[in-house]
Amino acid sequence: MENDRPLERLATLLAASGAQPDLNPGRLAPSTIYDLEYRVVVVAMVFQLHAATDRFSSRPRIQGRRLKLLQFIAMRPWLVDVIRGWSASRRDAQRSLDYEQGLRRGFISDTMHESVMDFLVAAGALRREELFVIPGAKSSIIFDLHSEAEKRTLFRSEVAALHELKDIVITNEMLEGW
Amino acid sequence: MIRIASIEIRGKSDRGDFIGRLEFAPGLQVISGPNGFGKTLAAESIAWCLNLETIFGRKESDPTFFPEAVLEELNLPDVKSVRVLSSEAQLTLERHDGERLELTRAITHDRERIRITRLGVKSGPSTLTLLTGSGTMADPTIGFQRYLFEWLGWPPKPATTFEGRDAFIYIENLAPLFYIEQQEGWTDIQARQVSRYAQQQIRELSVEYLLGALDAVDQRVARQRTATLENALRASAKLLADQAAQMFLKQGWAVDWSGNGSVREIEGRWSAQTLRQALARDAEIDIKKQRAIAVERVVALRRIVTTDPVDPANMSAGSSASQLVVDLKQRRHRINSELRTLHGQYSDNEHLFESLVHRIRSATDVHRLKTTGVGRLAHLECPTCHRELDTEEFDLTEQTGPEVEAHIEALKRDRVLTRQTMNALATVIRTTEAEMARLDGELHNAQRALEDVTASVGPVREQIVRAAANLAAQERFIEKLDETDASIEELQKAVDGWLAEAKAAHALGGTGTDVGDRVAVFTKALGQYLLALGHSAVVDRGVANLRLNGGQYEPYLGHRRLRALGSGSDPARLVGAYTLALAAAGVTLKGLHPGVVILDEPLQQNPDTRHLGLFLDFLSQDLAKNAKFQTLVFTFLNDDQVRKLRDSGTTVITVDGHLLGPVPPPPPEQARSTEKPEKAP
Repeated sequence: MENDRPLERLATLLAASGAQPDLNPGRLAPSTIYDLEYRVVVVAMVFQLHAATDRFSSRPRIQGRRLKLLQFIAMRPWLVDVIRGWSASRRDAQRSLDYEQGLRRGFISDTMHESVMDFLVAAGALRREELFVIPGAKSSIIFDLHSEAEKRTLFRSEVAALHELKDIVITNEMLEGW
Repeated sequence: MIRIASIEIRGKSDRGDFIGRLEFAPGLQVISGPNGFGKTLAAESIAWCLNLETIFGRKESDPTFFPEAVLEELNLPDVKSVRVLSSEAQLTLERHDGERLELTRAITHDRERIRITRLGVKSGPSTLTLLTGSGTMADPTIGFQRYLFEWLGWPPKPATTFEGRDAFIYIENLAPLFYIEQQEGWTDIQARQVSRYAQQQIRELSVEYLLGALDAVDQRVARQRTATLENALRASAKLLADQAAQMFLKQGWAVDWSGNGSVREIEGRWSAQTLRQALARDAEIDIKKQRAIAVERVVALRRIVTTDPVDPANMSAGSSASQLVVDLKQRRHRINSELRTLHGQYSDNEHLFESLVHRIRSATDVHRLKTTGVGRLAHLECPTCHRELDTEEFDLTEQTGPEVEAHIEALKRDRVLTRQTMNALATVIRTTEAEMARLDGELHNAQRALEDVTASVGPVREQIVRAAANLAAQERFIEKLDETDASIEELQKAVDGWLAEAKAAHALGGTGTDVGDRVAVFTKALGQYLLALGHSAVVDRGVANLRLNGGQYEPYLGHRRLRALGSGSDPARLVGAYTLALAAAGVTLKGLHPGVVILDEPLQQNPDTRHLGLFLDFLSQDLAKNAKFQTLVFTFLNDDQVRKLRDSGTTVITVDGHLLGPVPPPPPEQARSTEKPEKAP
């Protein structure tokens, strides 16, 4: 199938016009942002650091959308300042609407997160309960991952971002992208 | 070379005076006694008299490592729990020429002083009291450390701390190479030296010092000083470069005079051209020429203002002054807008760079995660149907280690590109800001001229005022040129001074030393002692591949660090061999090793009788018995072991009963002859 090798096709086309294309497929290595294991570790860190018990639930839980936003920022710590600004402008509807459309579009259209959540729910690591996410029957997967990453001081900037996010007010409007 | 002649601990209790004394001969001696009989007290007293308490992890003059017997309460043979009123230790050292030194230091009171009695071979005894502490190394009048170094024939050698301060090589730095104390001394070679007084490379310096490689010590310290100096030089270069950038920017000249990079790089750039040459190269400015042109203009303008005829019909002065202001403002507006764009681009690239740094870090962690197996999600199954979950069904992918590596490489390439873009943008911003500064100056002059022209009445006056304004602007320009010229001169002097300092820093390190030959002797001795002590890795593989790694003197067997090889008790064997071999090499090479090795409780480092037997065998070998230095081994041997060692010709001193006991009464004739008995200390 020709479409499976778009790079090679493009190179052939360019070569036909006298160009000398230099193919380097290594540069097209997929980003680790699309790696399942990385995503699972980040979800585990978000859950461990932000899920909490409350008067309605004795098990730690977190809103699904909040989890989605937090993991999105954790993987992109340079956006912490952006969300802080967005949070600060939340009382000003017009300013808030203008604020960083890119960030809103980015996290709302992060479809891979939904797939990762489906996978973790299917594996029994997490469970969906209405709007919330709670630990599943095999929640040890999540807890072990987090403690291993912590023990080996992996993903420090993600953890630092998640700690910073604890001090930022994130409203339901923000979670809906408003 | 010295030897320890005796150690004596004495004091007063509420039941009278007490005393304990051990005398030592040259060569190997094993001091054996059960636990609690005072062996360790004797070993620790030697350290105390040498001002070595810090190797027990205590502060200077802190005696709390001593047992209660010399501090508070003592059990005498007849009476238990006797209260100790005072105590002191006395160490007697004997030098190779026969001169003796008695070092007496109080344990309970007045611990910051050491009483010294020097017993010369030909001269009579002389006594003095000196202060203890490492600080006394710098004090040649009342410092104990300085005195001891001089008596031992050890030259004081300066060292550098990590903070760049001056220090010395102290006795505490050297002692862990010949005094192995029982707590942590056996865990690693020179383990207790780490960070003591924070001298740089003190482990290496101590080995070189004891081997007598003093030129190597000097060169190592010189290299450290060069490195410290280079840090300071880099900081001052940055400062000078900032000053130059500010000065040029003020004039609206974009000149690349960077203070970044290593000292060698900066030196290369700055010595290749002067500030004036850089100015001519980057901004095409020759101050002398500019000044000459400006002076010519001033002369011409003065002529216009004073003697040249003025055309009364010429009405253009006002409008041209106004037009100039308008033109300059438009140019300023355009450059300002360019600058905003450039700053925006720079800021975007900064964000991109930040995100790349983060992504590289994350991807590296993901790579660790995958290669170490932490967090692998292999074999996840559905909790209800127990079917293994297929990630493809969820549209998810797991990347392989090589894929992540390729991604990291790609990110690193992007980081380099982004850095290059940022550098290029910074250069353009600098040039544009310089242009802006120049334009601001011109606009300021033009506005002033316009104000003056507008205020004047009639075309003649307008023309004269315009010329006068231009004249004033030119004169100001000449003044600024002169100021800048002087600043460049001054800054160039500072740059020349910096270059001279950099050159001097490079000249600090010397060349040529015999340390290699000395280390070869040490390595050979180390191999002999490791084999004799039965180090399992060395016995199995032989000493052919034994080496001390370059410059750090860490033993390696082939490519493996010897510390990591062998059985659980082999590290202690390595410590023993290293210590004894250093003494043997130091004595052979006529280095600065004192010629004394103290091993406290070496047998405790062995887990079973087989390993313990290895050390006992060593003590009966010629290598240990016939060593040309004194070895004092404090340990506990049973009767069989004592007999066996004595049969093989090894000297064993047994401590039967506690070392400390009441002072025996003087013999009758001595008692009669002493009219005024000396007071107990």
